[in-house]
Amino acid sequence: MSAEDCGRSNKNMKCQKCQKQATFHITDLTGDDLLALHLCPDCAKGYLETGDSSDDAPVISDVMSKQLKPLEQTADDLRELDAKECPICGISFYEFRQGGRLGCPHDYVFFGEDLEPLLINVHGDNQHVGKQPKRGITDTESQTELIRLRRQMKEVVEQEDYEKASQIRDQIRQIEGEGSASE
Amino acid sequence: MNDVPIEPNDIVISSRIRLARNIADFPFISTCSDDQRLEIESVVLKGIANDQVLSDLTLLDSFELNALERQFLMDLQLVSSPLQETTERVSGASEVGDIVSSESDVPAVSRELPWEELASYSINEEDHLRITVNRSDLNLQAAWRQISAIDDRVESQLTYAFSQQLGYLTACPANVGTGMRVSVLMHLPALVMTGQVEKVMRSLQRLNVVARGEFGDSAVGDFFRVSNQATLGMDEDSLIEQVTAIVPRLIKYEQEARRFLVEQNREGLRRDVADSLEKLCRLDLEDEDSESHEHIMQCLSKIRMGVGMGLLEQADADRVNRLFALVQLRDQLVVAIAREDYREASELRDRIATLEKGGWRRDSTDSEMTRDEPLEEGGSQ
Repeated sequence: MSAEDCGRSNKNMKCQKCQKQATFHITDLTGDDLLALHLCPDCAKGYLETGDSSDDAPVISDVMSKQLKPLEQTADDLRELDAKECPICGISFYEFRQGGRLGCPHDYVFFGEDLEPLLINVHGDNQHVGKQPKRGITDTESQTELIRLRRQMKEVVEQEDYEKASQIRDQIRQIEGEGSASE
Repeated sequence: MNDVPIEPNDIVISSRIRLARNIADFPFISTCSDDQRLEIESVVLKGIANDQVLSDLTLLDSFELNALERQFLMDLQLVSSPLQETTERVSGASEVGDIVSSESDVPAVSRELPWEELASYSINEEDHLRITVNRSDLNLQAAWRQISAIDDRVESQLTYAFSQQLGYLTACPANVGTGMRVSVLMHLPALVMTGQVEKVMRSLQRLNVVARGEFGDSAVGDFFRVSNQATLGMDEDSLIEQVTAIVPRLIKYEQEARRFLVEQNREGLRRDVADSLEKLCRLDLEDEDSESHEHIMQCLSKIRMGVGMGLLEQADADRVNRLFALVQLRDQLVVAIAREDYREASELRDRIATLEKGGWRRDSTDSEMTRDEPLEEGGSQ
């Protein structure tokens, strides 16, 4: 789904759900067909809000639609960004924009720059203050490596390459051992 | 925060803190395979079992409760403190239930009500682990001490996904940082009746606080959950302060709206409340239909307001007290059964039977009936 709040379009267009002026022009790509919608801000908000409002958190797709506008990204920029895929979990930026959920902790590094405006928009900040884990922070690189190795191990087990699997297992154990040794 | 009333009143229903945590070396839930979800579940459960204090908690598998029991747990929100959402199946979530704190050295909280220290966990919802602590008052500092102590214990067993810059890493960027959502559940029927609620809620946004309708469609409900918007860039104490600072203001608005309604038409309002009580008495409270649940909530909302405003006659107020006592006893029964404390369960069953015989539906003057005052009776000593 892509949504943009473009003031340049027909000023007289009415919202399809109520009679207010439509300022959101949404093209929904989730179905088989393209679905064009013209909605006022209130109805658009309702439409864009995905089911999960259980967590009192701002709805990401809603924030996204606001966030992408000031950047004035061209369609090409957006397409390029959407195609970016995290090498660890395989999620694309497009999938994230759609679902509002990241695929793994490494996404915060991999999509770092792309997420920053969103973080600023939602939180007004991009630096954590507050509680930290007491055990000291394991470095994110080794955590990412663990995710990658586990995935690799699963693949080689499926291929019945147990020699390779045992090598990977030892690598995992070594990293895990380093983690607990540094406590 | 000194001017914030710590005691619950009829406008503040309960408060809650929830922490979102993820285990460092697994992907987030959306990209997890079923195997990985099972592994996460077992890693978390093993971590809990390894900790002496956490392992003392009672596991209450919400998916094994029947609909009625689940409903009772939901009703806890009205009576004392909420066990929110944990009772609802989340699509794709692994079926692990909630853990109800029974006895722990987690910092002192009032022991007057057994569920005042209700802490619950959910595994494999949006994040690997979510820890929730509910209180029936506004003492969010105490809730924070309790939940942070639980969090420390879990963290001594598991490695959380954490970065120096962004704090606790969560599946949704809206929760990153502290991973903490502080919220207060408020009952604002007069603001709804006077049509001011939307305006008030919009004004909150400037203060970085969001309000959402609770119990289904916000358009019909009188219950609102007020919570922090940001989770990154402020520490936990500041977030608590931010949310609690709003509460006295909302209480004041609601009180003003109630005063206005009374001045406008006290008799009409009183009749409205009394009608709701009559209507509630005719409804089948055990009907699982969601529409009738909505009706029940609407009636309860009016009745609650009526009690708070002193609009009910004594006999009716007594009936409401009996009803609330009954709901509380049933909630305790659910917990007792989960703890396999059958001695307590049988006591509770008898008390429920007595109370039901006394009848909250009829305007009973039955002298045999024990008057169970909900706030004093709650203990299970």
